[in-house]
Amino acid sequence: MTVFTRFRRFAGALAVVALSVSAAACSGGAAGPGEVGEPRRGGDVIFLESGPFTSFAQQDLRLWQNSSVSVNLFDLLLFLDPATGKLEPWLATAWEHNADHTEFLLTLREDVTFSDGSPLTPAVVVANLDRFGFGDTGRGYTPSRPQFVNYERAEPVGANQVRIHLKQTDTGLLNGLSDLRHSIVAQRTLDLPYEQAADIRNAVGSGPFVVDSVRADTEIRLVRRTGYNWPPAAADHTGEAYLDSITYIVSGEASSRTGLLLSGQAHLARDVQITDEKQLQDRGFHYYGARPFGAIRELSINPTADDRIADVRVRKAIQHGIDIDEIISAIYNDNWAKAEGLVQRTTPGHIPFGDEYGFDPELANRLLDEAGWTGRDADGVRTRDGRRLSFTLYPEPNWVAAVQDAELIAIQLQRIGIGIELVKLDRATYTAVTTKPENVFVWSHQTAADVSQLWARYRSGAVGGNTDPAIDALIARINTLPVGERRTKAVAEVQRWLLDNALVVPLQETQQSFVTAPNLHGFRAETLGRSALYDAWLAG
Amino acid sequence: MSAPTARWSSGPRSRLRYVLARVGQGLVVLGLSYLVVFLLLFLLPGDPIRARLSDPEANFTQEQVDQLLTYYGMDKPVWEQLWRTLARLAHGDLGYSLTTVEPVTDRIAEALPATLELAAVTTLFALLLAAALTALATTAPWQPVRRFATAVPAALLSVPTFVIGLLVLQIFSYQLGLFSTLRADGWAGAVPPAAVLALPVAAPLTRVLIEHARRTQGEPYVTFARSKGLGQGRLLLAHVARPSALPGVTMLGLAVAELVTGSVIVEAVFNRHGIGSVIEAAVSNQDSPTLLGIILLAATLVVLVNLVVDLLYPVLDPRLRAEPGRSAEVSDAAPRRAPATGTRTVEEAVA
Repeated sequence: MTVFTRFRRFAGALAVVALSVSAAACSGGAAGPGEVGEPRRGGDVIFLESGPFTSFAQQDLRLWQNSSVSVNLFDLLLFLDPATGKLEPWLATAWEHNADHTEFLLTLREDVTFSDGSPLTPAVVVANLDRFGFGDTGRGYTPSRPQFVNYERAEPVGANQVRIHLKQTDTGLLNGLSDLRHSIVAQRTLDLPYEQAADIRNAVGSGPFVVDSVRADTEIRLVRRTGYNWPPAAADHTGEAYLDSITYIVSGEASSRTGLLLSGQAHLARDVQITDEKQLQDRGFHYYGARPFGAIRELSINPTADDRIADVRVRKAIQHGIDIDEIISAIYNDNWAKAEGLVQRTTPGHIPFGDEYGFDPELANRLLDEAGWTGRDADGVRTRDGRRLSFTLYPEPNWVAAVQDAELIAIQLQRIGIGIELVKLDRATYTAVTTKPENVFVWSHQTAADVSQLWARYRSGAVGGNTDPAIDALIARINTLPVGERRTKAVAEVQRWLLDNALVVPLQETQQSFVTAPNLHGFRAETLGRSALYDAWLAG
Repeated sequence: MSAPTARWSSGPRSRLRYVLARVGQGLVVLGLSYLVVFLLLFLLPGDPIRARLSDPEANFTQEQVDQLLTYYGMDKPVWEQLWRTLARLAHGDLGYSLTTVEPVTDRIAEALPATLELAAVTTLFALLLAAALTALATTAPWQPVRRFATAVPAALLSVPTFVIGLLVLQIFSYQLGLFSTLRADGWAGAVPPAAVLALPVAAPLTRVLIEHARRTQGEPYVTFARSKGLGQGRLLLAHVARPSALPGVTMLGLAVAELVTGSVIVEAVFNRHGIGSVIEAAVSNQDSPTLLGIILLAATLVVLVNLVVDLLYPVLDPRLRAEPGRSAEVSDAAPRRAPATGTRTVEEAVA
């Protein structure tokens, strides 16, 4: 794909030039962002999505491009407020649980209907929960993992309640219900085989918008659902959504999305080039750096990949050899932030890890010297007994500046004498290659409604290559503690263990960019950073 | 492809045999390309299903993994999977996409119209441009103009389409607002990308046409026609254009086949959702059923276009309808078709 890479570089450069030219030509044109006015009903919004849509079955909703649409089609049992981290009522108005968090009783709203007219009943909620818990693997449905790994069964209670039984204590279950993976669909959708449930036309939800029309995997039009009246309490208004319609159009090229926004042909885009952010903001466009709940973006190191990386001094040298501040200032801008903990700042359980794991090239060099990597080859890469200290790094496929990041990290590590060979892979190959036992580095930026869903890869014997059972106990403890101080302390212990063993290099806060036109207001990034448009409205 | 033994020239029976032989050859090409791609995809590491199942955060049980692999038919050995795929194919079923989970036939059918429109408009533009440049290069009365027209193809070939495409977009769409790429489908939407895509298609075509037009102008029958007092325009149209078009037809045929599958970048730039964008998504996700469907489409097109081009030859140049012995003789003077491939012809034309 070399032509394509050159094309992307050129496109980026051209967009910058064009932007600065047009910014100079039109400066002072846009209305000041100060006067916003009152929300008004009406308006048709064009949403530029960066990736082609795939399947809209529940198990595929976490894919970013699908979730851009699905969060406006489906509701969830509980709402996790991204501002406070507190659970709020949604389809369930109340919830309680027993002392050891193995039984949960949810009370459902009784006025909710799906877009096919069928009511929200305890039976259909149980059917949804069963699908999350068990999947239907013979028909292509995968269960929800790790969120529902402890699920045993659910049962309707009376006319408006559902009781969930777990096999063992899981304090993360309720937060997990607020994950868009657990969007509630009508029985009609649940009954379909996977191939048909994948078609968005068959996705029947209870959300503020309904599907109007679909063109291949590149255009989806949603229209306001009349009679919608059950938003989460944290929403800015009640009743129906403001917008008449949202048309999602796939526009795969970042410079095209910027051009379409600037020329007023579209109102909203997911993913813009980092180099375009400031110019768009200067022109009155709203930039939203959505910070989803879950983990920061990190680079994990597999300690069992080979004997060189098995030495904790080498791993620590890598940790201290990477300069995040330089990465943020060279590749990003102040819309982006360096990570302070392994958990995102807004997510309950976040706790800063302090300064001791940061950039320190002297310490890194000393550690490598101590480890015996004192020789140098012609490229300046350290050697020991004729072996080079050089590794392969595969840039992450789903990140806005993955290649630039990886290139700069390679340069930084080269400065302390660690050679890095960059190899770019497509998405499917990336997963296949990086889950092999001999692979050293893997990137991740996992979104999760609850911290207990993180770090599965570090359990001993899992794919992260870790063999120390000490961490299993630390991670397992999180699932037994309710959200609060003790749980955050447990998170701190996991974090310290991972960092002390240098299995993780923390990079930056996970972030997803959205840009809206100057006259589009009320955009909300929901808990996992997805584009909720219930409150959105167009000024005249 | 080696020339079949039966020839077009020797009577209706052998003509039929010729066509049948070519169709047979085409089927072999189709079958082999399908097989090779199937095996290549199988050998490549990774696929979207296993990627999902091996997701370290998912932690599926082995039983769940096995059941899902059975659901996708991925638990079978490669030959059995191939057999099942072929059996389905015999019923016109290309299977389901591994990412969009819709039938591959639907996916291709949805994307094909946009691509065919683009290919058709591009071909038209390329033909017009090539014909105009050729006429200029061979008949313009002023030598600098002839030289300039001869040099244009090289210039067109050396600027990548995305450069021109993005410039066209920035100026005419984003700045001047002359057209929108938001829903750039349909015939009207095909015009801006086709204008860009026609440039690299016209370039080699123009070179070959210029080369052969010059050669044809030296043919004895042209000299004869000129001596009869025929005007330059009529001479060109009636005696030079048709035989000079032969290698052009070959090149154009190849270009059309390539346009259907090769417009990935221009489609991305102009936001058109045709076969190119399906290819890009399928390749980056290793969506093998979709890729196989597209391979089948592309191979069918190449085979068909080649067949049509070969059948067109005798129609365009009467000399090729003559006796086998004579036709060989004639083909020395006016090459029966562009030698082997288009690119080689281009190199010769440059030299």
